[in-house]
Amino acid sequence: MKKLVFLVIILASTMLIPVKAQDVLTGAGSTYSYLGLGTLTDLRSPQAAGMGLLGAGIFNAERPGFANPAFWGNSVYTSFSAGMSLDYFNASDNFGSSENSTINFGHAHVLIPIYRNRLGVALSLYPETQSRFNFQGFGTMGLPTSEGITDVQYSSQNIGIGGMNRIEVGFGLRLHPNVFVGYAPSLLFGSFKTEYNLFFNNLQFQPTNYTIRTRYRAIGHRFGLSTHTNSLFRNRDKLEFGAVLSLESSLDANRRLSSDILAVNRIGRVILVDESELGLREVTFPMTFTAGATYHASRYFLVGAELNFQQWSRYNDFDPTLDSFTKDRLRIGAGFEYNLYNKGNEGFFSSMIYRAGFSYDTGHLTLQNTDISTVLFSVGLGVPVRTMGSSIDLNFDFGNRGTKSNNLVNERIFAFRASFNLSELMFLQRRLN
Amino acid sequence: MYPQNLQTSTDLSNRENNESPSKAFPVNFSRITILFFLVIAALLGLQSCQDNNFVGSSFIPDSRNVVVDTIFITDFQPTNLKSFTGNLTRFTAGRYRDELFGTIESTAYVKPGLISDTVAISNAQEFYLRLRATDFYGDTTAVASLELHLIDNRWRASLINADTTLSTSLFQEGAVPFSVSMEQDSVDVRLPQSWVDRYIDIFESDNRQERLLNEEFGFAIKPVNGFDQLLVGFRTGPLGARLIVKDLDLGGGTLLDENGEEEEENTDIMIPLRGWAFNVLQTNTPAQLNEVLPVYNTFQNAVRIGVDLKEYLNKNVTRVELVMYEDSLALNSTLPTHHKRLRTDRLALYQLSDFDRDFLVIATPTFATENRGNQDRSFRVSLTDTIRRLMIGGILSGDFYLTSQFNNGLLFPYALVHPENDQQIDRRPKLIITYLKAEVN
Repeated sequence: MKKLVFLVIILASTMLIPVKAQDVLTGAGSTYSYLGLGTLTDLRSPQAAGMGLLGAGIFNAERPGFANPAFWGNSVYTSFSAGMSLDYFNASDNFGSSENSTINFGHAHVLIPIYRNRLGVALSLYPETQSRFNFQGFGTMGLPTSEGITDVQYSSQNIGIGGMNRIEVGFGLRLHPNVFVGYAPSLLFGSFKTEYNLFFNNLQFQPTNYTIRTRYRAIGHRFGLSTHTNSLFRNRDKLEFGAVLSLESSLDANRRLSSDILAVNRIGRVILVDESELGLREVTFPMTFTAGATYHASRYFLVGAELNFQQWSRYNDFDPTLDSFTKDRLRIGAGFEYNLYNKGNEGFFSSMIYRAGFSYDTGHLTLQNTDISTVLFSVGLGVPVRTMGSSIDLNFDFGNRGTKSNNLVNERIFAFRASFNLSELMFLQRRLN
Repeated sequence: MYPQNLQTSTDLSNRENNESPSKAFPVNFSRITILFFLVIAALLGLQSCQDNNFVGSSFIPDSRNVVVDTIFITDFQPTNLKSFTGNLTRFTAGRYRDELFGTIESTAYVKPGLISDTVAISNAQEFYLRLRATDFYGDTTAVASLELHLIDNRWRASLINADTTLSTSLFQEGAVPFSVSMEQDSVDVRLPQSWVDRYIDIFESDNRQERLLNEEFGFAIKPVNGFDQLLVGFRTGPLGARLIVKDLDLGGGTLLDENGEEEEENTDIMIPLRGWAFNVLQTNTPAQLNEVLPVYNTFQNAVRIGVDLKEYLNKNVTRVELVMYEDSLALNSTLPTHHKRLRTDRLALYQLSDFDRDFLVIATPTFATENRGNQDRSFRVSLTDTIRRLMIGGILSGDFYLTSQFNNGLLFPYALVHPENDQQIDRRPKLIITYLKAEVN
C-alpha cells in the first residue's frame, strides 16, 4: 500500500511539471561549452560515477565497464551497458542568471569474453566532449535606413550543439593472474554547429543568420593496466590499481559556413564559405592519463581515489587567431561504496548499494587569467536486479563550476545519471547440480 | 555454477546468507516500476528548467558584427528603349529651350473619329479642334505658338514612339496657327473649310468608316518655327481634346466638369478623337548636361544601371538599398524666374531582359520610388529581396533601367547627381549594403 501511494505521488508530480517539448530539443548546457570542443564529459563507469571517480581503478567482474580496457581481460559475463544523463545548470554572472538543462546520451558498451578471465573484446560508444548552448542578447545599433542613420533595436541568438564522440573497439588480456592490460583503438569524431541569428525591430532589415559547422575526426588509442593484490591487511581485503593512457590525437578538421536565406516565400541554403576555402586543418585532441587505486576493505565496503590528467595546453583551436584559452587539466577524486545488498538484507532500502564521493577539477579552460575549476559531489544508488549481475545505477552530481569574478560565469551543476547494465553468461554451458 | 574468482560487490557469492538467485534477489517488478517513474520524474522535473540565457557576455563574442558597405555606382548608360507615346492620358506639343536639357521640341498628332450618322452635320457649320491644356513646361508667362498641319499618311497611335516623325503638309489654306497660355484652360482651333468639306464628304458616304481610315489621317500640332518658350500638355479622353461642331440649331450634348457633374447646357456636337500621339526631339544639349545624370520619362533616354551584386552573394545580407539624389543645384540654377519644369518626385526602375527590349516597353516598373517627403531629395529603392533571391539561386530577369515619373504623355526631364560629381560626393548614386559579418577561420 505504501508503495502504491509512493507511485501515485510520483505520477502526480510528473503531471504537474510543465514540460515543454521544445526545451528537450533546444535545451542548453554549460555556458562554457561554447569554447573550443565544449565541456568535457568524463568517461565514468556507472559504479564509479556515484563515487565521484572515473573508474580506472575499480574493477567489477560482473560489469567490467569501459573505464579501463584492461578490465576486459578479466571478464566472465557478456555484458551490455547504456546510460543517459540529465544536466541542469544554474548559471549567473555579474549581469544576470539563467537556468538550462539538457538530456544527453551517456554511453553504450558491449563486452564479450572470448576466454573467461583471460581475454575479452569490447565495443563502446561514448562522448568525450559536449557543446550545447543558447545565448541571447538584445540592444540597439545605429544603421542606415531610409530615414538616415537610425537606432535600430535588435535581438541576437547564438545556439550551439555538438560534441566529440569516440567509437572504440578493443580487447583486454590477462598477463598474469593479477595483471591485466588492454588496448582500444578508436575513431574519434565530432560535429559542432553554431548558429547565429540576428533579428531587427525594423522592417527595412531582413532577419539574418549563419551557421558554422565544424567536423572533426581522428584515430585514437587507449591503453589500460589493471593489477591487484588480495589479503593485504586483512583476510579477503583487496587493493587494486588501474591506469589508463589515451594518446594525443590529431583531429582532421573541416569547417563550413552557411546561411539559410528566406527570400519571397522561398528558403534556400547558401554556402558562404565552403570547406575547401578554409582547407583541412589539424586540431590537437590532448593526451589523457588516469590512475586510480581502490581498497576493498570487505565485501561491503570499498574506498577509492583517482587522478586524471589531460594535456589541454596542447590544444589548438580551429581558429588560429584565437587567443589560447586552454591549459592542462588535473582532476582528483575520492569516494566510497557501501554495499548493503552483499549483506543479504531484505527490504527496499536495505538491499541496495550506496555510493558517495567528490572530485576537484582544475578545468581545462582559463579565461581572463582565471581557471574555470569545478568542484563536484556525487552520490549514487546501485539497484541490483534479478538477472545475474545486472543492475540499474542512479547517480546524482551536484557542484559548482567557474566563478563570477572577472566577469566570468559561475554555474551550479546538478546532474542525474542513469545507467542500465545487463550481464549474462552467454556462450557458457550451464550445469545444474 | 558461477566463476570462483568473482570479487565483485554485487556478486551473489558475496552475500552473507548465500541464498539462491531466484529467491535471494530482493528486486521485484514494483521496485523497478517505482525506479522507472522516479527517473522519469527527475528527468522531466529538471528538463522543465529552462529560461533565456543572457549570461556569458564577457567571453562570448558579439554575434552582431554588422557591417555597412557603401558602393558608389558608376555604370550608367543612356539607352533608347522602344516604347510608345500614343493614346496616353496626355499628349504634348511645343518647344522649350531648357538651359539644362537643351531644346526639347514636341509635335502632337491627333486624328478625328466619327459620330453617329443620325447626327446631321454639314459644311455650313463651324468645325473646331478643342484642346484642353493642363500642364506647362517652360516660361509660364509665355504664350505657346502652335500651328495645325495635315498628316499625310495613315498611322497607328500604338506604334508611335518618341522618335517618330510623321510626314505632314499644309491645308489648302496653309498652316492654322493658334496659341495657348496658362491663362486658358481650353482653346478652340477653327479647322479650315477645305478639311471640313472633305470630312463631310467622308461622313456622308456609304463606306464612311473605311474612307475615314484610308483618307483622313488627322492633324499635327507643331510649334511655330522660332518659338521655344513653352511645352504644353493636353488632356485626352471625354473631357479632353476633341472636335467641336458649332451650330446651335442642331442641338448637342452636355459637357461634364472635372467632378463629372454637368456643366451649362451646350449644344455643340462633339466628335471624339480616334487616336493621338506625340514625338520628342531633343537638340542643342548644353555641356552642363554632361555634369548631371539626366533621366527622362519617355524611354527615349532610359538609363541602364549596372549594379554588380556578385561580391555580396555569399554574405549575410540583411538590407540593400539603392540611393540616388536629385541634383537640386543643377535643376534650380538652370531655371529662370517664371520658368518651371513639371514636378518629378518619382523614379521608376524597370528590370528588362533582352527579350523585353526587343519590343515596346509595356511592363510596369519593378520598383518605383518617391522622394516626396525626403528632405535630402533622395530616391531609395530596396534591393534586399532581389539580392536574397540571387543568393538562393534565383536569376536577375534583366538589367535595371531608370526613367522619371510616369510615361503618361507629359515630359518630365529630370537630373540626378552624376556619379562623378566632385561637388556632391556624398550624393553620388550608391548602394548601401548592410550585412552580418561572420567570423570564421
